[in-house]
Amino acid sequence: MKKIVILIVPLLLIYFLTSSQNNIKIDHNTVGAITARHIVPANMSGRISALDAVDENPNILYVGSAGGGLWKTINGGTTFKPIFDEYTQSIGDVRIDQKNPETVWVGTGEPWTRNSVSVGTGLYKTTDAGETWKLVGLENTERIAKIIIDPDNSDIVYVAALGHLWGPNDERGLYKTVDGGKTWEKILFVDENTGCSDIAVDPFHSNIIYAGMWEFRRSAHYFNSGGKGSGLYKSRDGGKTWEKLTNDLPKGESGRIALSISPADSTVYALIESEKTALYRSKDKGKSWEMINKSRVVNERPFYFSKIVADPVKKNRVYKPGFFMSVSDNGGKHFRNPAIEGGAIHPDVHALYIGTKDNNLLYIGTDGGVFVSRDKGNTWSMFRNLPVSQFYHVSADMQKPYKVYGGLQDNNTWYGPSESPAGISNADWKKVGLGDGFYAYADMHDPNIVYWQWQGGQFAKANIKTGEFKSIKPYKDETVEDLRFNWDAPIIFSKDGKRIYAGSQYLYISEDKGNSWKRISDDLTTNDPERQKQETTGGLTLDNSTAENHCAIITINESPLDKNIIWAGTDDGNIQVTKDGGKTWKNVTANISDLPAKTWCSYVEPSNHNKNVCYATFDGHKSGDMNPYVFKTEDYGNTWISLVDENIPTYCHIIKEDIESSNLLFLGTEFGLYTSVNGGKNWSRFKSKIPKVSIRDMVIHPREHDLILGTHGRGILIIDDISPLRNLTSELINSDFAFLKSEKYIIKGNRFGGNFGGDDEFTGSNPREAAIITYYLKKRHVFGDMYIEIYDKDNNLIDKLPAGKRRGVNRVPWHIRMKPPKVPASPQLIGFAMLGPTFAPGKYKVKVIKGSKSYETEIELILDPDSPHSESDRKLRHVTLMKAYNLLEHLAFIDKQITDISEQTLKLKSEVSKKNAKKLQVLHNKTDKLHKTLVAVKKGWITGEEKLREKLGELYGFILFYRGRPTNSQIDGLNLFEKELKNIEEELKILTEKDLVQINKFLTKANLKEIKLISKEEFLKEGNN
Amino acid sequence: MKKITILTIVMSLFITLSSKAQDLTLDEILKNHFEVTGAEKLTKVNTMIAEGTVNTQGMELPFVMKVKRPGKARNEVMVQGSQMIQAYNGEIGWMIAPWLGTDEPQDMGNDEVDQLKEQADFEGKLWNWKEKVESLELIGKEDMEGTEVYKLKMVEKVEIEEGEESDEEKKGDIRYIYMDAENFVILKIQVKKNIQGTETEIEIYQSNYKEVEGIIMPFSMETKMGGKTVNQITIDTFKLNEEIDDSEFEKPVKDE
Repeated sequence: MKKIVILIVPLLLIYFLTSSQNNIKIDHNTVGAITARHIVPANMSGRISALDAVDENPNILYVGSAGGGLWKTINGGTTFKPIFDEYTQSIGDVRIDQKNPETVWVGTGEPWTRNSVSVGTGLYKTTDAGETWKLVGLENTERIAKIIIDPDNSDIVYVAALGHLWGPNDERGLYKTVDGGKTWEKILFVDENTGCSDIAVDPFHSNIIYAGMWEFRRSAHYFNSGGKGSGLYKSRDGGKTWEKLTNDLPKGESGRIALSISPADSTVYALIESEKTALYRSKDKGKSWEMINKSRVVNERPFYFSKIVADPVKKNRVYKPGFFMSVSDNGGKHFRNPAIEGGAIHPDVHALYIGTKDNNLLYIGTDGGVFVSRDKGNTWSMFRNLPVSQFYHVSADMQKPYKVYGGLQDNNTWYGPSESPAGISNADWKKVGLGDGFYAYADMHDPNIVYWQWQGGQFAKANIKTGEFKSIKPYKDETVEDLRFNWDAPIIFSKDGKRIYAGSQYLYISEDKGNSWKRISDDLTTNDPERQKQETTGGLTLDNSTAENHCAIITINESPLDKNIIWAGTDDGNIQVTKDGGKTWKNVTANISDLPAKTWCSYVEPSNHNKNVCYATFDGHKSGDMNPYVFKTEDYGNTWISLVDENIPTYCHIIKEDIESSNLLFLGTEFGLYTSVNGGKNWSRFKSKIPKVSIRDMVIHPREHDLILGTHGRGILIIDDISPLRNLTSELINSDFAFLKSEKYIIKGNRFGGNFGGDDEFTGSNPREAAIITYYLKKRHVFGDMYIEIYDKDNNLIDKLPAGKRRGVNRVPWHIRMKPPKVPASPQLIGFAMLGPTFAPGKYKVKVIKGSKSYETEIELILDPDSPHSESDRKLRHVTLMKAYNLLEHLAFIDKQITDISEQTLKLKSEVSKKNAKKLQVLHNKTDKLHKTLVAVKKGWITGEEKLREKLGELYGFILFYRGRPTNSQIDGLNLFEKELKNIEEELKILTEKDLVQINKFLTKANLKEIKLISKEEFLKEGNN
Repeated sequence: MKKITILTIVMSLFITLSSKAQDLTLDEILKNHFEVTGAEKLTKVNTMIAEGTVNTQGMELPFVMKVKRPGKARNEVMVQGSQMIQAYNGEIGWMIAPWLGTDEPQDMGNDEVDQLKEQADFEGKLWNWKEKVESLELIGKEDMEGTEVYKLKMVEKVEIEEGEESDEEKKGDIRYIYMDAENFVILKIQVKKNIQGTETEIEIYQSNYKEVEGIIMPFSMETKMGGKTVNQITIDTFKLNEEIDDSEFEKPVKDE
């Protein structure tokens, strides 16, 4: 028995020790209240891959974007909400169960298989209109092209799975469930290279199904559409047996197939890519086919636009989305643009919904957002509230506030402010350039010059004053081969903005802002001829757009510590370094173990702290390898260690080392942002306001210490002031409470902005206008007091704030304002006096009280160094403002004395003799009159009544709102108000010294309480305001 | 014998620990919650007065909140020396806000009255929930901002308010209650409120729990809408069983 006890006690001890002392894990909660804000507006929006609306009420619309998640409107597009942020952001198809519109199916993984496409993670279902989602299978299909619900039975659903784009796999083809998604059966499969690109179910005979099978493959350097696997299939028994349809159809190999059946007359339309791509039509359920159209309209980039949609109401009306919208009213024989008067829509149409009750209603999804037409495509409105823009790169300038710059998929290059009065609006953003946009920068020495580029190495710079642009791309000389530029060719500035690097297969440098270029390397790539066959890329349909350009430099960075150290990575897997400004290069790729050969080097990041150190990310997804590769060298690339842990879910685009702490790292992956506070030993996802979106680029602003993220699906996000993250050491996170250093707070002026533009525009958020008190809590505070006190330099308590109490980092805004001045009570509020003056610049003591413990730190408020106001002007303003403030409070005090007498005299009247009652009435009348000279008393909404209270309140507000010198007129006005108040005070004094003394005498005699006046000290102490 | 006692203690400790690690049923969670917070004692309280400040939009406003059985509530907030009053006498809700153009009491809308009604329910909706709400279920244990909580889902009863047409499709508001899995106090209430047909999400975070005459009450509340803080309430004092005249809850008759 004793032995058991002896055994148990140590066991228990271990239990207690481990449970009380366990090492706090770093996870997404550690960063707590540090959140990102979304700044990019939605005027350019982004690529939309799918959409669907509720037939009975098409004001309810679901929009699936290529990389920015799923959005929903219930008001016809006036406002949208993202409803899929915790899941994969690349949407393949969205299908509403029209019999029960609360049920919606979402297939992830975009089917429009361009070079920059993201990946999916299966099929999801909601039964509460998007409130909650459940993964229901097909996890490894990578991309889902179409979902169709059996028109007679909502539990039967067909899913066309394209499968992997960059490699073979078996989880592709046509799937069916008969139990609402619990179990799945693969009902049509050709081979590991062929997926199902489209399906159609006969609306009148739901056992009749058509399926288009598509053989396709993409690599980093080539795309193929078509092959033996492709073909059109039909089943008459709900998918049990299939027949390959060949009658009247193209004889040779075919490619991508799109299908649609007219609900008006059952005509089947099949758009079939082949040597002679054409639109086919069958009026006898697929027995025979008629080739109806082979014009260019039906042969535009099949991998991107393979879509045909029959009008749900009108016979023979059929739409062909493509580069533009096209429509035929004769069953596909001739197509034309439906827009006669309008048509200003973004090109590249991928998704279309046609109203079933009113077929004049069209929603389309394009490379530039969603448009609606209410007149069959004649005119269009854009939804300017879908911020799903796909940035490739991002940069920031040094203006105040700083501007951000970036280029987007099919949406040119844009720049806009990081903050703006009343929020960052669409109108704040400006466009430069052409085509797809990538790197973009302001010239550090001339903010009117913006560098931008379009695909395939077209570097340019624009003068945003004149609107001109100048191409600055390097040309080859006779000593080298033709230049090869990647689709996303790198052009990089040195940190000081003096040197520009540009990469083809060679590295070029310009020291005169792009006017002349010097080649500083030989070919840094593998120069593999097998990977340079872009002239035939596309398969059945040639498609050589530079998207597959290969064997080129893709990432370059100069060491911030030594301009002669330059790192370069290539799209075919090389990482090279020079220590002598490009005279000699060393290929260090082979020194990295556990890295598959020819894996795209997505980023090189020379350290900000040690010139021997460099970080690199590699991305193998274009060879079907979705693993993360993150490495670090401390010896110029001779040896490398992997920084990957089990938390990083997928392939990586970029790593950034903090500019102050080498322990703080940021990693941009295809599924969101990851951070490490211990130099890459552990990673955790940064979740706060950042969905699982592809993070393509990052910049740490050197002055503001903000982390700026360029995402491929959610525009640009900013995490304001990352400095608290620098101190999240493992020691600190094991303490119960710890302050984290924040940047000094610059006292800003009041800004006014905004207009009545309706609710239908996206507005980017501003940084918080408050000094931020930042601290770490090991555990959520639940029991007992916790609050914050602020003390001035003389240790006077000047403010008290509620505290943040969550686990991890808390950020408490301190609005740095004194209490607003006390003003006399009135039926009218004085809006001008609702705010107090800001506290003076200087250091303040912050005390966090938590239960019986308290913790102290300092916070510093500083003047805006760029303020246009001189010190003497600011001093005069402060003195004048405080005079107005004190005068208002004095006015409130005088009025309080007056109203006290006025009220009490009235009350006491009934308790005294008639004679004395008369005296009370006289004093009441006198004080009431005084009150009415001081304070507006009229009831009503717009009385226009202005007394001393209102006039003084307005003057106080005007001085408060402007941070510089008050006008002479304001100073004179204030003096006059002071005098007027003094006169009233004199009158009151006479009343209190004569009338009141007399009254108090008879009150005492009558054993009644004297009318006592409140002292100023008592009045100011009173809490109510 | 002594050895056995030690062993029993040790074993029972083990049992306690392991049962703590196990997930509890809804009834067990509620039982713990009521025990921890002293809900039984609260049923014997007749009036309650809370005084404190509300921080909203950078302003700090003093307030007084009064409740009295059966089902009466009154809130007073001071702005620029003038008092705003909202009150509910168990039947009708009214308010006075002098700066809204009149100092006469105005009738309150249904949504505002609901808020006062809830305030007047001393023990809250979990106590005798079967009588008060449509349903209550335990969703499970989950992580709320890094703290382990039990998440309860409550569906409220559909109330056809005066002047409304009955609507079969109208659904009760849904609220999720996040209960600290360690201490069994409520950390957050998330309400999906249907306001004029539009669903709005309101989150109320509760903290600074302190004991008042054997009852555990939150002295700090933060309300968020759409993830943004709209107000923070700090309570300085809770007074129980003070005399409050019924007339304070009655709509004043117009002065002559």
